[in-house]
Amino acid sequence: MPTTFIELPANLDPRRKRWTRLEYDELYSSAWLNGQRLELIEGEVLDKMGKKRPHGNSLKLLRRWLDVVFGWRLVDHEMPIDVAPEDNPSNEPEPDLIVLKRDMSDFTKENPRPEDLQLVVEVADSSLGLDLTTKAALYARAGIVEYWVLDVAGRRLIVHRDPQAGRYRSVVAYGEHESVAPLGAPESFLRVGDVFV
Amino acid sequence: MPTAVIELPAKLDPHRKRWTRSEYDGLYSSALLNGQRLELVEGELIDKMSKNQPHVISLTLLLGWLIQVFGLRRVIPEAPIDVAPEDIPSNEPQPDLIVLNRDLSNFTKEIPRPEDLQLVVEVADSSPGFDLTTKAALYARAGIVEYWVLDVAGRRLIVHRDPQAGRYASVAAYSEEESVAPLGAPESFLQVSEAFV
Repeated sequence: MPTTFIELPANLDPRRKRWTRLEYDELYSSAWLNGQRLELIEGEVLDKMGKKRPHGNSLKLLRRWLDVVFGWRLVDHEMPIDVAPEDNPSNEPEPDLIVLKRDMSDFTKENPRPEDLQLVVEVADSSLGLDLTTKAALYARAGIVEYWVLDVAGRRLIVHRDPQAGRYRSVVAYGEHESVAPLGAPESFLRVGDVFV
Repeated sequence: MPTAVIELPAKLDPHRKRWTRSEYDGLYSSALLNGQRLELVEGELIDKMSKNQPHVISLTLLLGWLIQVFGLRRVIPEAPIDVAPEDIPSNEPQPDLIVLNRDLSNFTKEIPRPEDLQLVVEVADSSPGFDLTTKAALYARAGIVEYWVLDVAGRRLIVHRDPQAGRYASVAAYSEEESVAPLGAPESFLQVSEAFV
């Protein structure tokens, strides 16, 4: 007798297409994805669009603060970066904000590399889980010295430092009433509450 | 004091790019994905390349059996199909095997629609979960009258029938020693073990 009760396997995930960097770059430069903001993470094409309003506000406030502290020619918005050599074939992240070590005129042809960056920032709403796990590991493997995740819903700033052996040794959450200075500007304290409206 | 312990949110899934049917068709016909076998399911690009040998063998055995029963001109491997009108904008599945109601010469211009199909088959190796959930719901919503999932690892055939209100009212698993006849050929019994080596 056939059984009518089907036990579902634990893994319901489909085998998604894995994109290579080569395919992804061609895709991105093709006309028919015109205007979409995407990034390539671990072979998957992720959508960076559809930001909610609080996200946009915090992004703007944080960008303004970074502009003042580092000068606007070091701060870039939505610019793709390179990561560790072994990760580059299946990754091309596009952080919400980056702070360069050198003037942006040095990066007219190629993506900034990890050693060109003094700070990478993601402003997270629904992407918080990804930003704290997959992205943090990716940036740590690349040796990016400082990585901030602004948790908009949680109204806190999570500061990752000291990348070693593929992870950040120091991960610290700052609440709204706390302040933190980036490694690259140790005299300039950001009060976390200032980037929330 | 900042806290050093980060509680991760429950949702770690990334915000993947959702593909539309027209993007997908553009992608498929571009040189970019040359030779890759994909399908579009719920806005996601699914890799249909069969990598494992038991899968390929079972597919071949089942194809042979269906051709014997329905004739060469009714059975198509790897053919894209249409689904329910409301699902079409984000879906273009490509089942492993389909059995048509009419001769394949009727389908030189457009892809078969649900009412043109008397049987749809997926051969599942590593992840039958997706075929038993997302795909089953998609085919049920389309009103496809019969849907088989050959579970290669589990050595069983899972037969879905009677699509009603977006789900199959009858789902029965047949083990190797059991036999089943498709609705479209009720005299022709397949012993499930015939589909395995």
